Amino acid sequence: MISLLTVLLLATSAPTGTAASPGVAADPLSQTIIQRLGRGLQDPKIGQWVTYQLKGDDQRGGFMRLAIVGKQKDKVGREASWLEIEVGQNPNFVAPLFQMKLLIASKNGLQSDGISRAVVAIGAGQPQEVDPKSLSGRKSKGADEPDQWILANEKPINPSKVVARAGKPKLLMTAAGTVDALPVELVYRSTVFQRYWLSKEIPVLQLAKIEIPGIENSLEVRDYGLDAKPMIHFPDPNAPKISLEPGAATEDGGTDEPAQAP
Amino acid sequence: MWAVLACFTFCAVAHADEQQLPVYPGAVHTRIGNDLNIDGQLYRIAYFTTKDEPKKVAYYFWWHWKHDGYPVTRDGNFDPEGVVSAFYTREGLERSVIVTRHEGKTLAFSVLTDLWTDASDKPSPVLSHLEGTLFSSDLISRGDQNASQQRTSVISHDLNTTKKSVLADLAGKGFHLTHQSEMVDGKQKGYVLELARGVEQVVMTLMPVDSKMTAMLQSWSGAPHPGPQTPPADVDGRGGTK
Repeated sequence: MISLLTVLLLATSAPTGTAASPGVAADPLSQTIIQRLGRGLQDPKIGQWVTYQLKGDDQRGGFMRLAIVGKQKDKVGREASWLEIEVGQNPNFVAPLFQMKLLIASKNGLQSDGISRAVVAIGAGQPQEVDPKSLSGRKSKGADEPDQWILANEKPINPSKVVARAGKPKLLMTAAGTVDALPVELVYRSTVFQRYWLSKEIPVLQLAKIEIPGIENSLEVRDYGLDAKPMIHFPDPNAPKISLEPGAATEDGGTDEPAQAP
Repeated sequence: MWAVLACFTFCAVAHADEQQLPVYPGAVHTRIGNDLNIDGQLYRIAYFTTKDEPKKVAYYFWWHWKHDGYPVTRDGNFDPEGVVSAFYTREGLERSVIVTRHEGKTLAFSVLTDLWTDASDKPSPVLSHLEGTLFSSDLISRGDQNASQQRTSVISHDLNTTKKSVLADLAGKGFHLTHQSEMVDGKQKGYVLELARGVEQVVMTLMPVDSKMTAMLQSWSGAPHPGPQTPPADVDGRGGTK
């Protein structure tokens, strides 16, 4: 579960010039979240929050919270939003197992140079800022590049052979209530490998539900609102920062390894 | 672990406002020390006894923490020993309860561990660190005016050599021997040494581990806290559910 979100920060920021597959995450659910964030934040407003329930085929599950908790200009003067992402075992998020806070340029999202600051806490560890030098100069998928996909068996798909089939908007029952949603199916060689439902009613990602039929994984909105408060505090500015060092794992679509800055 | 906890049992008891320790209903909880610094990590510890079985005590905490949404771990089968812990990841705290049976009752230690603070307290330079020390662990009691410190060491010298070395070391720091007594534990003979320097006092217990190894417990007290310390409010100010 933690890997799901670690890749948000790490896999999408493959070093410039490597043969990595930017934007390709380790599992299909996180891949879709990254792609949604990669399109930028649609009309972000401070206080927007959404929680999702994640279900796996082996009854394992978890919960994910995304919240817009602040806005400011980033270091190059773009409008940017502080996005908090948390993953936990319990929907009340009293003790999340993974916490991440990103300053994202609203129009760029997770695309190239979209992230200018990042704070990460894993388990019971203290939140630590990622060294901004590690973030700058790193490149992820550009806006004009096609989405990359992987199948349940972790084999990448040629994006030119993926067909997106949009249905008609309809009411979708979710744990957060019934919402108007647009169903979309992604088809590869006549097989539907992913279904998702988009809804303008859902803040942050405008995403109501994802299903990955091949591995019986799903992610469904559980709750949402407009009164989010910052939950991840900033570390002491003098505290050691996490640096991201280029790792060989990027060759196979994996992630860079986080390392402690000296 | 048990040896360390047994050591805590005999430490001074003090009081402070703080993040709460795990509490078992209907039991009297007795704090062991104030804020304890064990090798740089901060702890608060209490113990309690109850007629309830260890499994029942452990289940109470497990259910309570799980129900509140905290990640919980268990170690041991609670027949009779085991540990149940909850991780307060937002506050950087771990709350644990260690249970066992003792004299027909369940004895439990309730522990609050600060996972974030790298305590910068420096041990008093008064406490001896002899050449040939194989193991050494410091326990610093924080938050009271007359702070106390304990150092447990194992030294690779026989009893009399260790005694001679430590007395010479403390004499060099201006301490003088005020009392000395022999202590007998079975067939083994050790020493209890009391030394003073103004208002400061050092009490030492030396016992042979074998013919070439000696265990030494040093307790120092009587002066204001020697080193910089993070105020307890740092821990208590993190908020969250207690």
